[in-house]
Amino acid sequence: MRKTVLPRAVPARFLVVSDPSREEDWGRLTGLSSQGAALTSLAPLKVGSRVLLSWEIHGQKFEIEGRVLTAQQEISGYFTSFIFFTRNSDRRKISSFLIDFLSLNIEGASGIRTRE
Amino acid sequence: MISIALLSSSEEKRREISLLLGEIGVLVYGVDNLAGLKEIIGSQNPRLIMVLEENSSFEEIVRETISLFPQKPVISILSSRDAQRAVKLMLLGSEEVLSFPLGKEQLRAALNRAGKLPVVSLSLVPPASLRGLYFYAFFFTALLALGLTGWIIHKHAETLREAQLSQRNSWVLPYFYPSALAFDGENAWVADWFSQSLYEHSTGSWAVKRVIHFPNEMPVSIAVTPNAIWTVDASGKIVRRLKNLSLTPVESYNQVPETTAIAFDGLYLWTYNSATKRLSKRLTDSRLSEVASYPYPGTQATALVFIHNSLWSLDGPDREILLHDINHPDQIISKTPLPEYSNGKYAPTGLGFDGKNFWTVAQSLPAGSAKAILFRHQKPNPL
Repeated sequence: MRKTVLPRAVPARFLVVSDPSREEDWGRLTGLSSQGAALTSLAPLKVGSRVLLSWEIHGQKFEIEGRVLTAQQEISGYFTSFIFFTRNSDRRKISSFLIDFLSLNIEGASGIRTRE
Repeated sequence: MISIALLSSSEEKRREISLLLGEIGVLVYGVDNLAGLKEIIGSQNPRLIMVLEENSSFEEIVRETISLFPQKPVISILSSRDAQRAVKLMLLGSEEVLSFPLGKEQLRAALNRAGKLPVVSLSLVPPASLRGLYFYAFFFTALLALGLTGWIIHKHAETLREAQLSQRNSWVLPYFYPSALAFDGENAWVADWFSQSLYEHSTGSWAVKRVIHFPNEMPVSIAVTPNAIWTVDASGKIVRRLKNLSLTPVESYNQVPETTAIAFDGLYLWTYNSATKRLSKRLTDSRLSEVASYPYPGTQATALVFIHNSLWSLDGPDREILLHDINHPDQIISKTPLPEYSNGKYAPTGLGFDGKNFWTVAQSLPAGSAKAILFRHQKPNPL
């Protein structure tokens, strides 16, 4: 499978909507598709919880609602969670961004590269 | 021993953090200004730099530290929790941002990952017209190649392969984010949620036989029956499909949200709800009516499998295969640990049974850092 990667994981904030007692936290996105995102953070997330995820890539800001699909603790101590985007409008927005972003950034530009 | 430079004008805070870091085996060189930091970097070459917030110009100090020592990972420590500022500091170039009160686990994790910041994978599935073109191009190229070379080497390769397969217990798969696994007697099916596709593999070589893409679904679980394939989307939608070339959807069920795993026992559909952590036995009527419901006896069911009259589940977080009492599925008859996952490099996401052995499919940790892997496991007892 051919993948396009950015050289540094994107900083992101997240708020657990289903747990109002929890403060806003932060982590980094390590994967992004039109359907969901992979998030790595020091703070754990529970499977099934609803989160509001905010990040910025190349000047474009996103605030997307999602549900935690899986959550695993890595050997380093960080938690990796997969967040499924629950709103169709959000998925369309991300899809449109990815189309523009990936088509405008040819290999080697903006630190982007592709790998097998 | 890892050594770090700690920049803080407060001797008290330097001492407090040095004590914490000392407990996890880290050597700390405390400095109170950038000039001292330059000297320590030059003489001791610590692995990374930690900068503590003490006054309003913290962002400026972090920016200056990063520009002076671009090769050194910088960890910023805020005096209080503030996600907005944390993200701002990461955008400035901090590898990680921590905040008071600090914990040993937090520090240990941040130090473990320092200098190994993951990349971000961006994926966009090609439009439908191109997918069709790619599929047929791949299909005909594969046919041509097979026709030319397959017959000549067939017998020799088969003997060799059989000998190799009997010794192998793991296979690397050509995608990164597997979410489910199922066998149908002849072939194996693996779902990959990131590429939104179902891969059909031959069970001999584990070569991909075909790829079925779901443009509007993110498959998280599958169950294969003689006539149909059931899939579960990340939204919890269950779809029954014909077992034809394109897996045509026959019926969609939206009545069972939060479903993350399914299995078919020949009569009933079993579902698992990850939010309530309950197993449900359902009729395959238009509403998937619930016949019975049981609390899941493990930590979290990642996959369900039916073998004859026995229900098995994969407890992903605990890396175990559980055999349930079919009359009381909330009770466990046996637990089989999966030592293949003890190194923490992979997380199991799917479970299947090929008639002889259990198999699990797994994604790498950190996610996307390596291709998916498939493990063949010894047959647990009792079967």
